Amino acid sequence: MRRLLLCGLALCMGSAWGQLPGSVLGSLQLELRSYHRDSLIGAGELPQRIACNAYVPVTYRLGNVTLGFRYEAYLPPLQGYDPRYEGNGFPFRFVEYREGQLHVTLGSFYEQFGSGLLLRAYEERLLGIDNALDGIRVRYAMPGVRVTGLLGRQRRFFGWSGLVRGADLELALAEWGTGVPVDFTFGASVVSKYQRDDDPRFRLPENVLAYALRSEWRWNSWRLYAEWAYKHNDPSALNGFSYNPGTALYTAISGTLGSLGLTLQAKRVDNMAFYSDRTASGTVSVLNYLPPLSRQHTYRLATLYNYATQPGGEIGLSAELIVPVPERFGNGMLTLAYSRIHGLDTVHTDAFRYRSRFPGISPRLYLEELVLEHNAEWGETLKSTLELIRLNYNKDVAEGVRGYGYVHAWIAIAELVQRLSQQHSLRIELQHLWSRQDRGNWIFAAAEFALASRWSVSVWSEYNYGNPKRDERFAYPGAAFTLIHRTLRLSLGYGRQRAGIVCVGGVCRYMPAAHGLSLSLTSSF
Amino acid sequence: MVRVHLLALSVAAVTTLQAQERLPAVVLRALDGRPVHTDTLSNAGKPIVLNFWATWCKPCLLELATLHRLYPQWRAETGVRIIAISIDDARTSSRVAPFVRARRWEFEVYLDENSELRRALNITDIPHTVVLDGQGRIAWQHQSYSPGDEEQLADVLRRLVGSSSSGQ
Repeated sequence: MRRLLLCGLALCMGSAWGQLPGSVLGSLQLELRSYHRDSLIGAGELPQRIACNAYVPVTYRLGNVTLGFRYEAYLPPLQGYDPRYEGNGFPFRFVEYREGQLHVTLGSFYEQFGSGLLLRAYEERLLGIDNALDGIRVRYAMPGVRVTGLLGRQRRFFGWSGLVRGADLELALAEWGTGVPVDFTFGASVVSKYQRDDDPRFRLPENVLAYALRSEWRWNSWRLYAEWAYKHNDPSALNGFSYNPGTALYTAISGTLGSLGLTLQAKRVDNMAFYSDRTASGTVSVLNYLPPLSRQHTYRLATLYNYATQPGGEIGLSAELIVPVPERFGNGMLTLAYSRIHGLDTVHTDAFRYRSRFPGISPRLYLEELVLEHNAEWGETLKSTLELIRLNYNKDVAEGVRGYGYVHAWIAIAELVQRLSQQHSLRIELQHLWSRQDRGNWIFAAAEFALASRWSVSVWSEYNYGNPKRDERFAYPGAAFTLIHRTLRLSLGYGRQRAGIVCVGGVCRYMPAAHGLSLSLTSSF
Repeated sequence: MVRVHLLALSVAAVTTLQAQERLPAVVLRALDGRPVHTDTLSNAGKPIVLNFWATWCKPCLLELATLHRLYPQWRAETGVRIIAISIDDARTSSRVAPFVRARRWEFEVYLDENSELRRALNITDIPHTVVLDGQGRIAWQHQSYSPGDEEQLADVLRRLVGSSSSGQ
């Protein structure tokens, strides 16, 4: 009866909201998963059997004012998420006021200065990242000048911790109408965090200041971006209580030569982990974002060995060339990408400091990756993707483990999407990974049949047939049925999921092996 | 149990609410670096299609290749303006301009590097399509892409153009 009353109340609320002046936007994401014991793949059983993550953000706008909140529930959190998320509440709520060039936010907000080397507050639900700030932010923008100032605490599960202060200034020359053919933008930002020193062993800085300078040059189709960041000494558990300052340098050049597209990126990072809480690690309380130079993969086997930036120290470059392919070879694109990342050469001068000369490239390779990808359209009904990846992956460094060394792997991927009729389509994916290290060879196959805008059914299996340990040659099959209606997507699946690292945007999280049912519901309005 | 009730309440509330929104005011970046204010986007009374995508999103690329093929025909028929909004973050946003220019996409492409517009619209996954009517109101939304979804989008655009011309 109580549930019926609550649902009735919700319906009334919904109808009443519909009559309000102003406008409402919202969405719902519900992820449910049952966990069954599967001792073969190491999947454990949850005492509650079922875990659930739910997110309901709603915003209401009336004139210049926007109110918003996000209800979140982890009952308990899905496996792989930090168990400290367990509970429910409204960890994100805000009120915004906009008047001309002024924009003021009170409450929770996300923000990024430059490319994020100093500050990037963002949300990535798949990884359980939400490092929103909660306080006050003021933005003022006029042609060619943008200023942001903020003060707040950082989200930590269902609470807030630390104290963060920051300011950013951006000057865009081209917007001043100078008529200069080269478009130049200059930016400067500063971030400071405060945390009380209550460590009995060390004298730790309570205020840590960090600043960054950036510039962007544009000329015809070409763009050059460079950002340099410096962080004063910030000893923490994560950097072994090093009193060294932190630095980061990131540059990117991109443009087109005729019909060729070219992107070059280089980055050097030294002791640049930046957290609002010096006891934190992983993705909790992190203040900045260090864009990785490895390629962002989405195919299943290509994500088996995923690399994320090592904030302690690394130096690397990446290059990508995109070449249009003539019609007789599939009227598509050929992409050639290469990344190489090394450790930094450092010499310890005492227990808490080290010397690191620029550029200081260590012979210790962290990652080398070569990718060749061919996308093609064969008429209006058949599309294909072929991808070949050569990988040299330092598993010890990338995953923080010991004794595994390097994994040398080749990965071949083929994806075909065939339109069978106006509404029906079939997608086939075949992948193979060859390696003599770690867990050896893998094969993956998937098929998906879809009726456009209505439903799809998919089956897949991943098989570690080449595992050197014969009794660990497991298959990870699964199937899912998905219903789609406009913004509503309801998916019901069943299967095994291998343990591994899941990465989005170069930030990674470990997902344990699992076996069971999954239900996913997303909708927005 | 109270927590489960709260969750059920939220689900019921969300499923009963109706969209009645104009595009939130957010500043995006064009590929040439110029700021684009979303609250000033217009198309002379014709519909606008906003397609949220990223360079690493395979279904997004399938959908955009199809929109690229159909754009000249749709533009002639309905006057639609298509805008592809990339949510590539700092890791891949440098790739976007050469990626787009090599493909010769004719529609506009803007960058939403820290997902401000995506979040303001409460978009969960990509690809996600938002259609604005001639008055700039959100008229239709759709998430995910399978070949053939574009037929439904074309119907929506024709209906919007038909209703606006019959209303004039």
